[in-house]
Amino acid sequence: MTAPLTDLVLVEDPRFYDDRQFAVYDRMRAEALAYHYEPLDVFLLTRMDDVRYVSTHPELFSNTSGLTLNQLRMARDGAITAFERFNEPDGELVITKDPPRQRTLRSLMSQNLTPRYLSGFSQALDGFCRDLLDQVKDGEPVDFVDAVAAQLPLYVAAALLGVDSVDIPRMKSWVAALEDLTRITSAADLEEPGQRFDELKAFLRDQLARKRQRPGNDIMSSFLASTLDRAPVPDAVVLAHVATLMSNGGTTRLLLASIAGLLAENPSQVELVRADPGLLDGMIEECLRLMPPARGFVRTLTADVELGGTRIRAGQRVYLLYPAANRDPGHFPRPDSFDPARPQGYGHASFGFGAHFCLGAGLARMEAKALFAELLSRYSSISLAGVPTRYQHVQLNGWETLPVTFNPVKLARGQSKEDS
Amino acid sequence: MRISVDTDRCVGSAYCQRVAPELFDLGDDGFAVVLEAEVPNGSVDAAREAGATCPAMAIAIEEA
Repeated sequence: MTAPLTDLVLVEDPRFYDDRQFAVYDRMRAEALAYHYEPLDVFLLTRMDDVRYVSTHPELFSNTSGLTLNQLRMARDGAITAFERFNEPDGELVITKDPPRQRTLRSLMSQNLTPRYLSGFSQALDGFCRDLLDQVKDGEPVDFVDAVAAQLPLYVAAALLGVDSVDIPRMKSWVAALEDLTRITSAADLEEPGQRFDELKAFLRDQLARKRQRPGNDIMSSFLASTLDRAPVPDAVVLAHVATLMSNGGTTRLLLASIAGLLAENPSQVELVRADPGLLDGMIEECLRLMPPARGFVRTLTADVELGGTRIRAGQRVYLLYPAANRDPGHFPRPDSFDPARPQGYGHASFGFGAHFCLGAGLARMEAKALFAELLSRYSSISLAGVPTRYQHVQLNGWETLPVTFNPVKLARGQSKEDS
Repeated sequence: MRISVDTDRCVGSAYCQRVAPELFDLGDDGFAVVLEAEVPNGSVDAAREAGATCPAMAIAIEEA
């Protein structure tokens, strides 16, 4: 590969991430630790140490001026104002704030996402996993995304939010609308997802009114009982965060399908994990490392900073490339190999670091563990049953479709299924 | 060895609790609490690992 990096670093093109990206990151680490991507005036960071440094210094690297490459592109093209109707004026979304305000908002969410709080939902979660897998027939091809990965996070979100499961098909359409809003390239494309987003807001307002009348044991009710600035939490803040919790079912969908895909590619590792369920956590971390559901986030400098030998000025931006940091050979020996027993298991960047560490990380891990524990107790392996298609998105990473078959555990001779 | 958690930095990832449940727990507010500030000899490696994996870099370790 002798082409100049400017011809190769095509981070605004979803196809860049299909197969070329990793070789390009290796060159960026060798040639430009802070690579200036001129079309958006943003510096791309590929080393784990730099990603950690930026993430853990929010006083230097702000979240308040754009988080995604698509936002930067829309701003450059003058289309950003069309987005404004989607932002509640007083919505104060936690990810778009810096400490100390960020921390105040975060504690509203985090009290409902602690391991202790979530453990109250684990029985329900196990039930959802069994129900979903019961609908899959042994040996019959099925699209894992549609049949399992897209379903489970919606059932979990409905249970956590205290929403009736009859609303799940509509929730699915809204999650899709929220994702579409993050990949459109012109203001004209806003109309259709915008309408569905407005439906979502109306639905959530109606749900809030119900919870106010009859509070339940759920996150929406808990929000309504909380205070912000010594007053009840404003509806706009509740709505913004509840919508986020629902839309993050999207990244969980991507994660669950990526795990299934990696298990189909690595049957020998599946055998190891089936033999030693203690490796299940490591397997999930390895999938997170190799296929981060979100590829990265933008930060804006509040002061001049030197990074990777480059002076970056206040007001300029950096982009944290999680797939690159996750395969930084300085951090992960043999970075491309899938190894559930890797000692650096938790060190990946996929949930971020520091103040903005993913609020839903514990929930996503809990869903993944419940689903794949159940799946691996029923089946000896997963096989591809066709050619999977990639989800075309600059920031989000995973499968659009993943045709698979589940292969039942082979029974010993003379043993019937009933007494197995 | 002594350990402490900077509660202004902790983000409630629960990594410390997973790596060293004998040393850390999570309170009802979701943030880490230290169970044993004086680390027993048998848990020194676990304490170091918790410090290294904390995604918020919120764990301080004073080597004896």
